[in-house]
Amino acid sequence: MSLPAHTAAIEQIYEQHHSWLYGWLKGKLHDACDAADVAHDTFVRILAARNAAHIREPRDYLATVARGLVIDRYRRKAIEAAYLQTVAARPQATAISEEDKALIIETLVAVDKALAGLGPRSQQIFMLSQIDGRTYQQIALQLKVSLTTVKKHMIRALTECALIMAQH
Amino acid sequence: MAIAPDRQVFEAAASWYVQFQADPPTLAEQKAWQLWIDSDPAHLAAWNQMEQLQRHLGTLPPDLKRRALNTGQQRRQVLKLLLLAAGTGFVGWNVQQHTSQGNVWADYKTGVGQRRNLTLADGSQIQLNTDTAIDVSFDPTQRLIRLRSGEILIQTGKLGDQRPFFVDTRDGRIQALGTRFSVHQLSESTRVGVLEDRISVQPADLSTAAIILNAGEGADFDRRHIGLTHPFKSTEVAWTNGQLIVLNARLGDVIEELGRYRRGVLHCDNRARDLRVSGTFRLDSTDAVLANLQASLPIDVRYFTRYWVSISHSA
Repeated sequence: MSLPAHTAAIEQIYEQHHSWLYGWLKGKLHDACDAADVAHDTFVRILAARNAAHIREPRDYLATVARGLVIDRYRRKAIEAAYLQTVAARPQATAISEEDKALIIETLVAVDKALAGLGPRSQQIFMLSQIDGRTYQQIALQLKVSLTTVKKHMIRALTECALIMAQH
Repeated sequence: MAIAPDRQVFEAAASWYVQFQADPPTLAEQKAWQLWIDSDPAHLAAWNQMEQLQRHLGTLPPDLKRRALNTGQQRRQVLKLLLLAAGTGFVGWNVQQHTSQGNVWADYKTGVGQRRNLTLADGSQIQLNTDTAIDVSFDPTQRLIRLRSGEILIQTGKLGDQRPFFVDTRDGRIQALGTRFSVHQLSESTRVGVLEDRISVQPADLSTAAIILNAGEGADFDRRHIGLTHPFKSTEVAWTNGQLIVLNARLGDVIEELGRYRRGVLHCDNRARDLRVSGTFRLDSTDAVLANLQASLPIDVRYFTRYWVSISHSA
């Protein structure tokens, strides 16, 4: 698709549906600032997708993208809260730079998102490996599955995590 | 605009990672991995993504983990657990394990980055370089050193011991003829070099007479062949002083050499490998050496973990 056609289509969608989207988000988020941010991010996302001229049902499309962004937002908030709690609970202050903190949270958002899309088995194996620091062999013994199965689930989980990180 | 990442490539990168984490990579696997990395920039990008994931998850201190383990494993808790667990397990396989395996019962050994001096009963001196293992067996008929792995410099005793002095490697036998010489077990061959007097070299499966190497000469041999004799200078045993001295050497070779003194993988891309470098480097601080190289050459040195360093041409 040509770039001008794409931009023109977005302009049209923006004019016709932006205030609807903003209102819809305000109802969901109870915060005007957040709603404005998400509405903005939604259009940025569509702009990047380069397929605006093919959108048939703009409101469905906008709502789908925005819903994903809202979930990401909750996810990020939950992770940030967990992060702050964790750091606060430490006896000594932990020196983690803002930049590192942002990267850690970015990674965790991706990991959380990836895990959310995986089956319980993959989640469990990923966590045993990453949280308990178990070797693949130990996990296989504990869950009474083959080593190959453990590796397969790990590959799946890591692939999803890395794909999501790469897309951001 | 980013190109949509290719799932298959990421799956391949994840497979390498999981494979390496399950078992330390063999040399052949490292080569295969290298080929895969070099064959397509997208492969390198996917691998970098995998490493970035590991690195970020590995940032937090591990003492937080204990608290987290009491909190159950509901979905929402995953995040918290991950936060707390960051700093464990994800930093790659335990590279320590693969270096000294099989040498547990050696008489004398050194770990990666260590050196050691021995004086034997006959007054001979042996210096062990990094990641080296030897057995010593002296009996009434002979003095025998078995080099299991690594590199040694031998100064035979001056006490007038008449028993023959041998060094056995996987590839054959070396006899000292009153001398100072170095023996290095490589993956496919043995490298010897003579600093004083002479040695004789007998490949294990070769029935012809042993060949003699004189001071200043070196050669590589395997079980069947002895390569051409090349000059051997004392700078090649600079490791005994904790130094690596190179003159107009390929960066790839220098990096490979430095890699012997530190755990983990030092990865150098194809373009960086052919750069030329001269200098004297300290082997006990390879991180500082890498920093120096970065300052003087058009290269980027990136640390993914302590155990995985990537060097790439920056131009």
